Amino acid sequence: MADMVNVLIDGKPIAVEKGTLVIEAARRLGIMVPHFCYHPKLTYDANCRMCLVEIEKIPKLQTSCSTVCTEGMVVRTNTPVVNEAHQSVLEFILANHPLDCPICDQGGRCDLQDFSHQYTPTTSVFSDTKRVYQKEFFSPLIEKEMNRCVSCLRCVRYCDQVMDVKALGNAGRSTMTEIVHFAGHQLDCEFCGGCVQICPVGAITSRLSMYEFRPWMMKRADSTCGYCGDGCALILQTRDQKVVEVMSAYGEGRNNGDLCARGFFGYQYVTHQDRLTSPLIRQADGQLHPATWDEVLPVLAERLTQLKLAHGAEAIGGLISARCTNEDLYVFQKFMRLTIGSNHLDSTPRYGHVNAVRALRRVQGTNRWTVSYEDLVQADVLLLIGTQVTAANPIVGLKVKEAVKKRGAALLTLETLTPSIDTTSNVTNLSAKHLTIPVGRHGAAVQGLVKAAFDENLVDAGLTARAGEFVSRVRAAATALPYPSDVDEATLRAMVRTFAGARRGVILIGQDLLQAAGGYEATVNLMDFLLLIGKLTQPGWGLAPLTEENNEQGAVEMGAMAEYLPGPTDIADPAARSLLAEVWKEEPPAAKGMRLIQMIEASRSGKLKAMIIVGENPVRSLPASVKVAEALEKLELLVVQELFLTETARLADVVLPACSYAEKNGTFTNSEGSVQKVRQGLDPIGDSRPDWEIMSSLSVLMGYPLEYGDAKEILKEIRAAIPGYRVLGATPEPARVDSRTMEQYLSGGFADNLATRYHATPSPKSNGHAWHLRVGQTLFHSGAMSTKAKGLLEIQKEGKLIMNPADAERLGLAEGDRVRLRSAAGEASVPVMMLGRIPAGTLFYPESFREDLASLLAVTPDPVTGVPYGKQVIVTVEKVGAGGGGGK
Amino acid sequence: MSSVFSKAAQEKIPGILERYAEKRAALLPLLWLAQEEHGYVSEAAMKEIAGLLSLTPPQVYENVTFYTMFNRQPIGKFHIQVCRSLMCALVGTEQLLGWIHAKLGIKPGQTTPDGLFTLNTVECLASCGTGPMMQVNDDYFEQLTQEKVNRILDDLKRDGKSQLASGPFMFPTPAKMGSDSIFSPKTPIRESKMESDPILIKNMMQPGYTGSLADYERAGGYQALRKVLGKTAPADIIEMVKKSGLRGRGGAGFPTGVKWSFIPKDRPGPRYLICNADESEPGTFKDRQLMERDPHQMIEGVILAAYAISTHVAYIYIRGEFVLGAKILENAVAEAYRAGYLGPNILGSGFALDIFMHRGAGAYICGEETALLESMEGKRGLPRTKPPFPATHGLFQQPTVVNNVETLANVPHIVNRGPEWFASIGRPPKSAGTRIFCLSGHVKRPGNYEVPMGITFREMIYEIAGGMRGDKPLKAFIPGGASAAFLTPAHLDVRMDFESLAQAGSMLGSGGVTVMEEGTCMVWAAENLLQFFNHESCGKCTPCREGSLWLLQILRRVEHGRGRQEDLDLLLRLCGNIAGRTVCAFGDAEIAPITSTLQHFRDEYEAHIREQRCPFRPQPAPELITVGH
Repeated sequence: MADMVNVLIDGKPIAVEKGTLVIEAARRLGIMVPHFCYHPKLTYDANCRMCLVEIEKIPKLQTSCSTVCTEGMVVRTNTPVVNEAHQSVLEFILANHPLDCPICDQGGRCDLQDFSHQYTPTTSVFSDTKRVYQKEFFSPLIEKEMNRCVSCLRCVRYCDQVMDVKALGNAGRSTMTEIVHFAGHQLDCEFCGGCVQICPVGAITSRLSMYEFRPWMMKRADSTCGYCGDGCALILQTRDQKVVEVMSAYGEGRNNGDLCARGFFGYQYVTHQDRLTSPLIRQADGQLHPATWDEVLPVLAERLTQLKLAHGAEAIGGLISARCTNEDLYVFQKFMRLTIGSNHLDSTPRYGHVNAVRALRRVQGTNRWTVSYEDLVQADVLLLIGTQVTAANPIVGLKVKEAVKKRGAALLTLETLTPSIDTTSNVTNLSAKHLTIPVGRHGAAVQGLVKAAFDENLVDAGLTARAGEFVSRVRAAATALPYPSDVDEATLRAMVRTFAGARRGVILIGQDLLQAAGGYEATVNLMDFLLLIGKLTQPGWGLAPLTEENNEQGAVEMGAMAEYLPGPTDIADPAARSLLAEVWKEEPPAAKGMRLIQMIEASRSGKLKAMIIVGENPVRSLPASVKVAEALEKLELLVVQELFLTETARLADVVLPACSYAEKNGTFTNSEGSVQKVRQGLDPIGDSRPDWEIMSSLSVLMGYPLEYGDAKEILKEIRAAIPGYRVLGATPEPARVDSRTMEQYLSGGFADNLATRYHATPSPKSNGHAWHLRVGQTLFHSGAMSTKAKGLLEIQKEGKLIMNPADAERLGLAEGDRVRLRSAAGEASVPVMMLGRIPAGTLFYPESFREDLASLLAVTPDPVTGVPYGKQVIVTVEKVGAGGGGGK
Repeated sequence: MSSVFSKAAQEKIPGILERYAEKRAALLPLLWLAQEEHGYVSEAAMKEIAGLLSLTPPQVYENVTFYTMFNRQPIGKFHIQVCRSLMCALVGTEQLLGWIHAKLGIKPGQTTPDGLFTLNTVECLASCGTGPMMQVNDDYFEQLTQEKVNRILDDLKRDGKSQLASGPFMFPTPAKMGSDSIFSPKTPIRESKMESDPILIKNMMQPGYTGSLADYERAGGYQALRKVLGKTAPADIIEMVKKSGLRGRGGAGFPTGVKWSFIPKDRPGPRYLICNADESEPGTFKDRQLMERDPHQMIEGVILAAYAISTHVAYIYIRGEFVLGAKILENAVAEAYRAGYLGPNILGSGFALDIFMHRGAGAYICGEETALLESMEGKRGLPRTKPPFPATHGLFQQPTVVNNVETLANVPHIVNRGPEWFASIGRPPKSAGTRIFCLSGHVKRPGNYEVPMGITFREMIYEIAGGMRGDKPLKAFIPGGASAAFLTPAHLDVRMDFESLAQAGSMLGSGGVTVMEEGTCMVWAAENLLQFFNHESCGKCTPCREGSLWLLQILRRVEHGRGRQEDLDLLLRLCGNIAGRTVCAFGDAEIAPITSTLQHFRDEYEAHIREQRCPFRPQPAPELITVGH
């Protein structure tokens, strides 16, 4: 092979690709050259001088981290001269090192300790004064101990090269260089924990678990993160029924060892003192009282059976959170469909993801991505539409950054953000072309993309020949529309030229598009766009919807929604029904099921008599105007399985304590479609039980047993019911476009709703007082769960309205001032903060504190997909006075 | 949004940004702009500059803390910076500080109660032939005496400025232009039998020569440019310079024409020439003179070099402290534009070149070419790992040549008079041409002397520099700047050229010759230089970052009577662990004073340890810790 070179390292031959560094070639031979500053994720810096080796024909020792293998190179890593060099570097480091290993949390897993053990004598000749850095408070989450620092700058380089955050710097010079944030201020950054993870010594450590462990005291469970749809591999390190720390190892998982603030610092909700530890049952006094499982379950089973007998299975509905495992979700829907006999069930994807699922299934026949994370990294163009990717899906954000920063991909962004630099990353800063899309206008921008494909003559000639009617009718519909007045036509057209001209490209879509009215139509239009430019079926190309919660993909695929059976397959699809009947030995009910909002309304009207709510909190998740509590109070029986006594759980007749993901086994399916293991790290807290187990127990008591010995047994059944689940693991073969479905779409399927999806939606007129408010995901929280995580509360303890600094200046607002917001539905008063990335005229509020704005919002369900749109609202803003402050 | 910059300053910003292909490179100019307005760089300024350059505030902050010249707090109206490096220390830093203390009552690190004066000691200000000296704000004050210091401080207090500030640099002053002047043509030098006309300082020796464009043209300036621009192929100029044998005058002595020839011929995209005017090797002050006294000579060299490597952008990275030099060069560049020597179509040849000034901000390491590139790009001035070399991956990762001021100043003469002429001067082929040697320390006539390479140190010290001050015996000398190993009287007949000095175990380096008389403590001298090196180590790589402080601490103990016998072997072992193991040559430089003094004067170290005191000083020398970062 021409692009390989042969080298000899310590007498062992190896052939490596051209450009391979000596240190990497050695590693492949199992030879570990000691190093601090080198890390495969980072460009080499060769500053620690630890990895010096002998190379024949070069007089001086060379740093193996910066030397590229050349043909015939002979390297020696273990000669007296080399060992002496390693020793001397350690001697220099140890001269000033405080040797405070007994109180250092890195002790026992510290590179400096290990290399010292290997190379240095046990005595030191250093007898002068050690350099001492004064201790300074760095941040509530991250501890900095500069006296231990080896100045390898991995943290600074990681923060820049991988995260694109640049919150860390290397200040001063000479012997007094140190890692800093800005001018002695407390660290303000993304808190991804990457600096903690990548520090080879104890200079940067987590304060959440400071002094609480020695590494060898901890029990390790390799699991999957329960926050967003990125599906990061996590290592839960536990001790005495406590999660001590969460980390992720380089090379592991779809995240390759990278994490975000939620993953790294957001674990403490698991052992929060408010966790429910026993079942609660409402007694005659109207209060919830603790009870045992043995007391509660038989009563509950009987009550459900009575209601079913009295009012029919149709009177019972269920909701389940996509935070649950596939096993929970599967058993839930099977319980609802068979034990209860009702199709009234719904899950988190109803809040937006279902728009993508329906659109993708309609055009390409699969809800899955036709690309993988690797395709994102290898793409030469990425188009992001309404993703807020760093906040919502931080690790996919890293793939985007890697594609742009390391591989030079062109990034095109249609985001409700504007390029602006501060110390949290903002992908629009990396955009080759960017358009700031006003709240709710992503659909219009997508229509513009389709129109531009025609106007720029980028329609695939083959397609025109093959599906002439599709092309001509979409052309007629799309080109009849004007370009949206609020985006720049030239830029939009240039974007389409760049995108269509690329070798490999992926469109990523997120919640700003999917959770807004028209989200379904916009997604179908994007599929039209990919079809038109002839890319949909090309390898490396695809449309990739991102999911906000960890297992939304799983919730859809387990069939935990009214319209889908496991697969997902359509509830009415005869083939799917009979396949499932083979596994279940019974057909699922045929009646059309109600969706989330319909179930709330049916509860209010008395049509529903009972609801089983697993991990969902509709009282909080839906605005006050929906009056969810009022509706649920009308039920004869409300059962809630939960970690905490949520707003919804407080209304329940029976509250059942459920295990968090840290206490159970199972699987999650991420955005990309990787089915990944969740492994138990803790014993269940109190008397809590996995959700599936609760339902399984109930089913037995109700005389329709769904019995499973453990989560693996459920997975086995899932695999029988859903062909895709035979493949488990981290490098899935991406799904392929189903050509039959696509042809059906092209040959006529497209016509359905053509007029509605190419329908001009004029930009809402602003009268100068109207602000577009978006309630959405922030980086530091996810749902309400994260607001029980001490670490995340340290970063962001309360909701703040985020606005553009220029807008704030115009209104005379300072950080922390309060404003009164008024919408058609109501009003709210909240503190403000400024961020340059929020476009002028736009306001943003973190979803996790949405209760602050509950009265402002209203809901409009999507007529097709049932998504309750209610996260965008037009408001007026007025200042109510200074005060507040604190938090982020 | 409100700005920390005045309206006038804001208007300059777009012009500054325009000079660079990458915005970030405007960092130092913008920090200077902020400091010029407020006397320091505030947090608000750092944030605003971060915004202007698409950087985060920590990225700006880490740079501000790297350079000594940026103040992060308001300081006294007059910032007195006294040079404490060896060359000035040999001739009176301690006395100077005493005089200032007597007058103002402040010590280094302190500010007078009225907030007028802040005193600091700083490292070498390239004024070694004219010590003791101090810089007050932008102005240099040299050859100080107590009386002069008193007058200066009174002037400043009263008028805000003093007439005693140094003008364009010229030492020694050519008092007599007669036949016995050392500058006279064809100086017969007895021992080496070498003679040569001065080349680089010839113009400035003429009475009344101001360095203006008119003066330079009158003296034959810009003829080389007229001769070749558009007429001779760039590749032929490179050949010419190769043939001349010109080697870099910055310190490393790399053949200039060869360096130019490494620029890829057919790679598309920009390429750059950078004139390294960051002269800061202690003991060296020749570039300052070349820039202040005859700026057009260097500019013509820059244009010729740019033409040879076919670049259209050249930067002059000038040391931050050289405020006067920067002003003179800026004026000269403006004159050259007006005269059509710079701009879009130089002398109608179709060749276009822009020259931009780029001021450093106080960091010795930025004289190292890759550190200079990092600094120019708006990053901390940390040397890069080589390869790749600047010729292929230089400024903004584009092909780049970095040449020293004196190197470039030679180019017009080579073009004018031919490579053969140049190659006949000095000791060709390896040491062709003249060198400007900077004499400092205990000689009668310190200053810059341009002589053919290859004369002996004896001739230089005893004939040209007038011999030892007070006719005391010579004890030691540093032949090529602080990074060069000390030599002894036994080396007086070593010739001042590349090979001879390498053979003698030292180096020609930057041409800074520091002479020390009998009675000078070698441990003290080494300690002084180690403090310089520790202060100026960039901190990037372990051996230098950690080793420089360790070495300094040991030397300080030995000098102050707390040495131990085992210290000497420890010093040597630590030096051995630094040598050849660092990213740049700084590591080798910082150990030279120690290994060479230990080699030649080990008995002196032993005496310090034996007697538990410095044998040369009744009182231990004060520890003058350099502040500034």
